[in-house]
Amino acid sequence: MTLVSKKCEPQPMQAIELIVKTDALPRFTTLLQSGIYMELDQGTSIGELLFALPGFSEKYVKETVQTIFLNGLPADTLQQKLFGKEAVIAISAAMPGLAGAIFRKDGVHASLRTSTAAELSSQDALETPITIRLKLFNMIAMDRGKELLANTCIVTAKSIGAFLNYRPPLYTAILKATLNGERIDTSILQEILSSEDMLKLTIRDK
Amino acid sequence: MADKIFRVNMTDLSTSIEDVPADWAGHGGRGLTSNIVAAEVPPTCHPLGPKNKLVFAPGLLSGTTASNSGRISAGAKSPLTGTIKESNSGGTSAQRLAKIGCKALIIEGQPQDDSWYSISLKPGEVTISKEEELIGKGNFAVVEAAEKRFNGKVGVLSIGQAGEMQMTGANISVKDPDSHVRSLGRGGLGAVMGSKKIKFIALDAEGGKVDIADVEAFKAANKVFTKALVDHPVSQALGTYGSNVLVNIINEAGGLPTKNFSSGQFEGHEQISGETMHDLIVERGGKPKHGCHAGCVIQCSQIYNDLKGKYKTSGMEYESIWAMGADCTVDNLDQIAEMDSIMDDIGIDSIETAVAFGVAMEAGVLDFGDSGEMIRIMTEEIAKGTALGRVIGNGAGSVGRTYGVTRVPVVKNQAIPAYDPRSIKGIGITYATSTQGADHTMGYTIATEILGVGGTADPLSKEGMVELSRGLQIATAAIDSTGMCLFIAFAALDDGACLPALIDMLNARFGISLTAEDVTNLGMSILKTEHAFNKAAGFTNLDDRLPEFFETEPVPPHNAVWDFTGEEIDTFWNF
Repeated sequence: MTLVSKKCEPQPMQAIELIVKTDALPRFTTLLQSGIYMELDQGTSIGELLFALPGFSEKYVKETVQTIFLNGLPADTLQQKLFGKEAVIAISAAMPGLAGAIFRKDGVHASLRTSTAAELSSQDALETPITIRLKLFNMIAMDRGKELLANTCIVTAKSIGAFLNYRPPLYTAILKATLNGERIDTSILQEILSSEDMLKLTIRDK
Repeated sequence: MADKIFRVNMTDLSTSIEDVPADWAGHGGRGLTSNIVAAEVPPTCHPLGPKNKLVFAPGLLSGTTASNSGRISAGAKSPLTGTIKESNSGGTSAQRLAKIGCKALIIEGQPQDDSWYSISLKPGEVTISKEEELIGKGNFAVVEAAEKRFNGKVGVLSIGQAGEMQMTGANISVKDPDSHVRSLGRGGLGAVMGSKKIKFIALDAEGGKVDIADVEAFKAANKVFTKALVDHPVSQALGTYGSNVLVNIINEAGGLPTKNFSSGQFEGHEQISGETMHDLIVERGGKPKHGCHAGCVIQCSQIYNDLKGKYKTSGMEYESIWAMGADCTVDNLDQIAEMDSIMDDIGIDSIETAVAFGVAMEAGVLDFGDSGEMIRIMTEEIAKGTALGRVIGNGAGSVGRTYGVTRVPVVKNQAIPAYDPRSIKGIGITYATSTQGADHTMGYTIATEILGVGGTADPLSKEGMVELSRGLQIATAAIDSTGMCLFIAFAALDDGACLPALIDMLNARFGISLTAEDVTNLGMSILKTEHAFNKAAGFTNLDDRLPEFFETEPVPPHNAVWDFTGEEIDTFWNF
């Protein structure tokens, strides 16, 4: 992810790496529904953010990322710039239902929305980078999640903990776990996660 | 085989097979059930009395090889809403009815004593039989027994205990290709079937077939239509996650009604999302992709297994999962699947009943999130017909009236599903104006530009929103007449070839030459017929309103309120 702000001070953060069985890897991508975090320069656009992600070509973003939410409101343009202290972006492939059509980027039924995400004001720009939480829903996580997770993501320890707690069989799919490069037993994973706030997570099958 | 009207009179236990009146010849599915109810049911009659009629009709394309054409419609005056009602479902019955040559099955009258009956249909034959063995049983036992009595390929329409007890949340179950059940869910039509003392209807289509006027033209159009469905990205999402893929995004929008509509976001949404459900299904050897009827190429249904990998339920929709989940703050899919299975067996609408539980939780009858108590009430109170069971089994409005709750999310006494109208106002207009009470399927996203119902007002104005909702409801009424699943809508919206191919199939099936304008006129005519029935039943424009709390209680996180005036809503019927 090349867009990470250079102004960003490296945070002391634990790094967990999981090597998992190949056939189980797609199920780990659901973790991305909770979101990954990144710090970007003020004024970065949603499009610039997405295009910088591994596997997010311009064609993929324009054709497949059909729904974008910015701070809980549907957004219609990739040019929307991001200002302020933090923002939440959620992206999804095509959604069913009238609601799916209403929220679709530039959709023909967009007029049935209660509101649409307004342009964020550059007056809200800070000296420090903006913290983005990016949630990936629907086919996006399954399509691109493996590449994202292999490239190391910053996530909340709570979200990984809850994710694994709800899916105990996934523990058996973990072939190797390391904490800051040191091998650990998966039985202490929850203990580590409960003592952390944010951490760097890498999940791959090789 | 020429289509006929099959008529059953439960008062004198007589049957007849009649020619189709000319006025009904061009109708199928919802268009036909609504026209028959409007023509033959006195609008002011008691919905559970002898003057109401229960009508089943396959869609115009049901029984053919047209992809996704296996929806059956049921219609009557609803005991839940008091309005005209059409409910439709997948399963195997639409195709069986069509192949039997039954354009509509009309059940009228009421037995003079307490005897129960079953009905069976074959090509050219309809029989009423006394039923004793299955009374008091749930739908699963009924389907199993009916398959044993008739040949295993028989279609089955049945009611569970809720229908027998005439609870207004009762549904009619429809056997699916795996001998599990789907539901004609909304509006309490199971209570109407119960009032006529019919436990089940068996449909034996052996030897029957559907005639196609122009076989080659039909095949060509179906090929185009099917390709449009298969290629569409929404079909991919539906085949992977089911409609439950909506949980995360509706929650993100602040439109996921939570804790009896007191918030728009649910903290436990990730535990019940479509993405999570997909993982659990795969992990336990279930099927994330599954069709509710033969010929479905989207396959949004699923087979959900329990922790031990044993079948638990199938076909859980977003709206049901939302109702049991966010609205009752239950964040466990296994508990939700358990409740879904119980409600399938009892035969009660999983939207209406779960929303009723949310209101009961607000009243303090049980705690929010207490799925164990919900399961107990379903099995020990609703299924057995205790006083509490009947209060909840009669729906959200019944619970609100009984316990003095003011936050009761109903329109025309039918529970509002899954999309908070404060956060998604366009859907709120449909909830308010629908001829059948709050229903998310009444104004679906259809290709308004092809049908010419997109409206002319500024789309961002309130007038424009009302106009678009009207256009969508007109288009939906027409599609509901074809037997098509509404999930064809996305392909119809984006692929210019899809809707014309559907019209081509109709023309090839019947040897006619419908145009898009004809389809629009059909939809308009259905809506007007339904509206006229409701007016004659005593409904006025003042019934086209959302509950007051939507205007006075801002919904977090966006703190939106419903701000359409009555005058603005009333323009809906200006056509």
